[in-house]
Amino acid sequence: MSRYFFVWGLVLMLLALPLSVTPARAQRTQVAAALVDNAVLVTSSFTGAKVTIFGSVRAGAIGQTDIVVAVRGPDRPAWIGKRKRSAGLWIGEDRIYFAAAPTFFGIASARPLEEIAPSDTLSLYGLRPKGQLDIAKISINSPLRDSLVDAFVAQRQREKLYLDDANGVQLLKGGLFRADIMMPDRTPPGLYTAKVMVFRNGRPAQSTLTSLVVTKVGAERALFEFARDYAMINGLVGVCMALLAGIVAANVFRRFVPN
Amino acid sequence: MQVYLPIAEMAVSPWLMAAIGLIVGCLSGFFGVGGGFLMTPLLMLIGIPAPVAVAAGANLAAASSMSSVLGQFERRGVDLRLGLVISIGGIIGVSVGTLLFGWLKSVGAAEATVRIAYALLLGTLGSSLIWESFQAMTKARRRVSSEDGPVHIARLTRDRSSRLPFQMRFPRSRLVISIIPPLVIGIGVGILSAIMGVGGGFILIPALVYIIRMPANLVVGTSTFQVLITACATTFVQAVVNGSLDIVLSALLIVGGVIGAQFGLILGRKLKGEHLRALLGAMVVLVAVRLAADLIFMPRNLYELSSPGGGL
Repeated sequence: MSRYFFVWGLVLMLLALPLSVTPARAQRTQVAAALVDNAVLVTSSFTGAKVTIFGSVRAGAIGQTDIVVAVRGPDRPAWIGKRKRSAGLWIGEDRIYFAAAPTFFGIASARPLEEIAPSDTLSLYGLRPKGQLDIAKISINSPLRDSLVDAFVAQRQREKLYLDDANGVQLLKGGLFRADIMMPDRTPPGLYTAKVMVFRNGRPAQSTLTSLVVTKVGAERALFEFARDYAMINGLVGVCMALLAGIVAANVFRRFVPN
Repeated sequence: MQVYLPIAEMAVSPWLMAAIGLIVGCLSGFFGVGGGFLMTPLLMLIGIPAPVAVAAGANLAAASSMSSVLGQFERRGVDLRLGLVISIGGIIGVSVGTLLFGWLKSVGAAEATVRIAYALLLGTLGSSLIWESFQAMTKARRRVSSEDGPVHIARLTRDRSSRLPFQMRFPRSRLVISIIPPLVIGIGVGILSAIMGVGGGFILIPALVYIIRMPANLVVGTSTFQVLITACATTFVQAVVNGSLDIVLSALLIVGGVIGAQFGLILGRKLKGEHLRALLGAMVVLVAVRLAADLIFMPRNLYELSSPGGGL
């Protein structure tokens, strides 16, 4: 990792050089960023991954400069249900459906987001998970909508699928920065986007976009595709595996355990 | 160490999975039940999506019942013919139950009724099992010479089921009865397991003992055989309909399960019929209490979410 860091640091410093020599542009905020790995491979030993982004920012010396990095997973349909109580018994649930919800939504910054910008600005620029949930038409008028949306975000935050890391961005010398975002093992495969935003005095000044892919490889990919494309054979394989294991165990035990 | 599951899309500890398989397999070999009542909630507690948990539980039940039914066959403890009749009923019951399930969901109050009725049914069933076996135990203590299990010499002639049509001989059980009672029992068990997601074996074992009046030494083996058939069918259906059979998860559970089933089998052989029934009764009562508690007390997880990948 440190070797990568050094190489990227060097590259980005070179990139940043021409910016500093043109005084006319010095007042404008500039940002460049790159991912250390453009792909996260899900193998049989996958337990999550760290996505690292290096970048360089040029901004005026006066005022506060903040860097916010947002990594967002592919949108998928989702639902949340709340168990309900009627006549003293817990039966059934109230559900709301999302037509699309980000599967992963990780934000990294160098200090808490609330200190960087007002909350309406954060929502407007898509840095708050709540604003990114697309509620399905049938659930729009649900009376429990607001409380269920909050519960949905809270649950995904508990599962580390939605996260805010106020220490996720490290500011280095010379306008360089490094951002780390942890993805949990439940992170679904798909195309992820990483957005780097520069805030100047609480206002968004500049941003850059890059993408990475999370993909199953090797045995994981083969098994997943087999189960999807050959569901019947997959079922038969499961049954045969069970029967065979049962026969083997019974025979082994018969040999070693007297009847 | 962690292993990533391709369908559940998460990482689990293989040792934990094998240990869960071992425990559930042990119960399965001991009582001749599938163990889905324990398996599905345990896996969901770990965070595995419900359809994946159900498929894996069925696959494990298939393996552990295969493991123990072979031992039962060897000791001539399975009535194959009766088991097949019940299994046919069971498959009909599951299909009917699946349709019923969709209808019940649409009628809110009906689900409540079924849940309450099921908890009550299991509660009375369990306590009467315990009561009956205690009586048998005290009786056996008084008359040491009496045989194991309930002996009903008159059952061949005086049973109501012997007056129904479609008589069939079940030589292993030494019974000549109509095929209607076992078929109806199978259908009932199938419907219940489709609606409730648990509870083939619980109902089946008492039904075999008290309705069919099967000899005590055949009950566990025949029930295990029925579980084997049902579990294989469920595994296949889940894999095809929901695409939720995670082979990696199944393999991890099965490794523990088949070994556990053998342990359960060995333990079960050491017990007398009435002791086994008393233990089964205790377990049925526990399940009934859990079902009732689920209805009455505030659930620990008030919220239920779709899986992160959104597929299941």
